[in-house]
Amino acid sequence: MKRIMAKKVWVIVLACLAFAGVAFARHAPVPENYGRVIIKNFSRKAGLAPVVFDHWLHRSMFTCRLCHVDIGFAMEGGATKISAALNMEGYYCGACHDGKREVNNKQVFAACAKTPAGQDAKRCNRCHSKDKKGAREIEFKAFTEKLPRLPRGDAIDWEKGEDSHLIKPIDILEGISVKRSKMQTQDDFAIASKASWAGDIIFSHAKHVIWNGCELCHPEIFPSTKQGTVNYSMLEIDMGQYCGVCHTKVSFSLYFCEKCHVKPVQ
Amino acid sequence: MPYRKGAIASRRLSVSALLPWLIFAWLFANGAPGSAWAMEEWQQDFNEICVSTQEAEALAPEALGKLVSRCDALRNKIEQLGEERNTERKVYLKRLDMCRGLYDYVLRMKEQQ
Repeated sequence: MKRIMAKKVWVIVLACLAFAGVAFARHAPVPENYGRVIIKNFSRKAGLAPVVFDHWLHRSMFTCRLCHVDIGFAMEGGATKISAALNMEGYYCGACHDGKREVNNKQVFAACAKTPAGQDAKRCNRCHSKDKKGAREIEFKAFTEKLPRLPRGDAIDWEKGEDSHLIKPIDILEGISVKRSKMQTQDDFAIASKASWAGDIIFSHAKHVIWNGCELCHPEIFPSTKQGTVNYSMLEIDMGQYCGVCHTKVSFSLYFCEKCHVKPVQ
Repeated sequence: MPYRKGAIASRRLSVSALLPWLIFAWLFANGAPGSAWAMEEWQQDFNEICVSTQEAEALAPEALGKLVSRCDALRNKIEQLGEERNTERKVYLKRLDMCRGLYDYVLRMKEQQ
């Protein structure tokens, strides 16, 4: 009897492990959908389709800090509570989408309208485009055709894109951003890997601050003030903590282990 | 001839006297976008305080401490913005909190060292 019970326990344990393995197995995300945010706070009420916001389009033109620090977009979906009224007042999307501001010598179309009809309706549909084929003017495939890709999958290598001057993200928005002083950055440092098959991580402050500044990560995402005191785990990161705040949603996904675990395995 | 010289001189004088007023009128009509004097006092404070986020690590603990105190004082001012400026208040408080958070973080880091 005891033997049968022990066998059953083993079967359950193995099943749990197999399930956990499947759950954490990483797949390359579909680049077009990666970083997509559906904004539907008030759209349905206004008789419009939800907004489809794609990070790939905006991050090719602006740094993360510009939107998440200077304009004030929250890092969690739905937390900002964007509305048409606020956009038309010049906040959030309206900070750039005011119909006057020029980006890369092109006038940025105005966000939202009091009565979404006629020509305005066409403009509204550029963002309120969920389940509307052809409503958007910029499509992923054509837009990202010339951008470099990461070695596996079809994900865009934004870092390489910037290094090769294919993208030049804007970091200052006239009238909104604080004109900052020159950046001071720390040296790169190593974080020991816990897995024998993965090399140590080399963390580069320089690579991160160029898009994020300092205040996007410290202290909210990384509150520890002493190096080496936090025991980072892939489980926590996978669940959206620490590096996972960005690297599970917008920045290259955890599928690309070698992007962080750069040190060769000893 | 002396009469003509005098006329030219007085015309020059009137043009140079008018010039500052013309510039002022032009700036007033255009709202002087982005210029410091078009900003409110608290906005100027905000810009002055948060300009150093990129060099926070190079600042001395005393300077960081002062910046944290200035952030706290500014927070009170922003909180007092009227109801009609709810969003502005929300946006700037978020920005200020990030800025203060960083200065305080670097200060604590330096104190530990």
